[in-house]
Amino acid sequence: MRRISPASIVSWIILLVMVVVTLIPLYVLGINAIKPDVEVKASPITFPSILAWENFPTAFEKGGFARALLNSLKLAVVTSAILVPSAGFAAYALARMRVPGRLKWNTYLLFGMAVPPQLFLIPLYSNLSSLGLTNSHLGIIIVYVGIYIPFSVFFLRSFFLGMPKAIEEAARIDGCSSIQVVTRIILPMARTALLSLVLIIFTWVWNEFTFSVTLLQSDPLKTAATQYLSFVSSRDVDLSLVAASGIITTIPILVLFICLQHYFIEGMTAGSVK
Amino acid sequence: MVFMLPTLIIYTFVVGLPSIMTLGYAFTDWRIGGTAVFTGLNNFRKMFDPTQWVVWSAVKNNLLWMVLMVTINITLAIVISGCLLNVSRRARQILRVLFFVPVVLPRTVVCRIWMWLYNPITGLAPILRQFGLGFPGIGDPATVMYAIALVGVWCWWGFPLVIFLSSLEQIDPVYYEAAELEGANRLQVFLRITLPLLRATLIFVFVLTIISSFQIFDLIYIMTNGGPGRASEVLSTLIYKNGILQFDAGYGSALAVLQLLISSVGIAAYIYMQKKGMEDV
Repeated sequence: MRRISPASIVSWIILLVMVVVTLIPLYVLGINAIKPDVEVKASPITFPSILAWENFPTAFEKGGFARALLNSLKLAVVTSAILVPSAGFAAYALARMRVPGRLKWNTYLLFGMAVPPQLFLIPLYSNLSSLGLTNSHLGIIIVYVGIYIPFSVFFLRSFFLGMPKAIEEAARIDGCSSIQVVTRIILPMARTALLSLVLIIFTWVWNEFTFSVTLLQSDPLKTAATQYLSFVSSRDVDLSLVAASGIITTIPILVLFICLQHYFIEGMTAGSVK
Repeated sequence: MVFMLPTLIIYTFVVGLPSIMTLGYAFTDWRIGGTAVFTGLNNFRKMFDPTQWVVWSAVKNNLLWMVLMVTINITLAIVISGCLLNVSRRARQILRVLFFVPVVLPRTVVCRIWMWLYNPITGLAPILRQFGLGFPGIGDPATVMYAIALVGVWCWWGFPLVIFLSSLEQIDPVYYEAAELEGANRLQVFLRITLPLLRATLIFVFVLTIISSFQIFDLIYIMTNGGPGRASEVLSTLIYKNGILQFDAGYGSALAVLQLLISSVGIAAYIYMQKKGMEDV
């Protein structure tokens, strides 16, 4: 029988405290979504005496979430679809090819990851405005691709550097051009890394606030995250609907995360630490 | 080189070019949609005007935020990852996922829930009062930054946690066995063996937390919009309000330059660190 050390007990106590702290907001979100509004106002932490499942369809319709969820999905998919090939080619170039001024490009891209977005927000908004791209999905997709490129490039670059060169060399000897090497060999081999990257980008786009609140003003265009805010700030929204619509906004990403959390977490640690 | 083009074109359009434009516009008087008039250092002089005290209050808040984020997140992450090493593998996996959940949740929902929790009537305060405990609020200028910081930590600390955990798990148990043989107690093991081996990771997380702390915008904008009064205003919200909402883009750009200057040490450290990591290519 394993001895339970005092260190183990102390650790568990601390961990349980953190579990409670982590769970309280989620519990409040969940439990109040199925309580009728009267009970919600009475106390945020009690169990419901009646299950008010109708909160969900009510919130869904009143808040226009069908549209908002589709918008988020669309933006996430299109952004990933453009980002992965662009970043993939650039990452391969930086990892395996002789790019003139390579160090300068690295610094250039790193800069974009480190600065507060307000540095480029204002002129970006102005430029998009002159091009008629504010309040449009196309505009915001371009922005998202632009801001997530540095992370994507470095993430894939690290991965490519770790791949054995033998296969690429064999392919070249067989006469493959560089483009073919990337599309036929590298990208398929990088499936797991690409999955991690897509998950991370997906989450970022889904949760993104700063640019979507600046660039998407009309309701039909809003993402789930911003539509949520818009909805819960309007009049006449009682707390049970705040909770229910919160669940609606969060569930997709939560489910995605829990199913694929391995790729997520490995991706975030690998993508950060060299 | 061609391989880099799509990336570079989009990135330059979104980040590179506008960043340089901001540096230029900082010296002008410009309303979005109008023409920019060169006014030299006017915007910067305006920052030092007594009516613009909010700028320096914001700077203080930014620095306070940075200190809070760095100290709390990193300490918490190290302590908890240490605790996690003392539990079973299975428990570690499950808890790791649980603690990471807040990192992937939409901030808008997170903020709204915490605003609810902080509400003096419908939130946790009445409940805690029954136990004789107080609970901070976002309506009090003295505690607002700390209250928001709690939210900031809640939805971010899982990230440094998984990074530290991953590094800790890679430490060869041989070191610990040797220490045990020499009769070292837990604290000595931690200070003399674990921490030095974590050095690189520690530095990385430290710098990453610093630069990400200067990017704070959404939490404050959503929860308090800089209030109550201007108590939780930070540079990013000021830039947004002046540059975008009030169309005073010249002044907004100047504030963005100020923000860049303040975060420049962190940015330089980050770039330096990443490049060192890339040098072995």
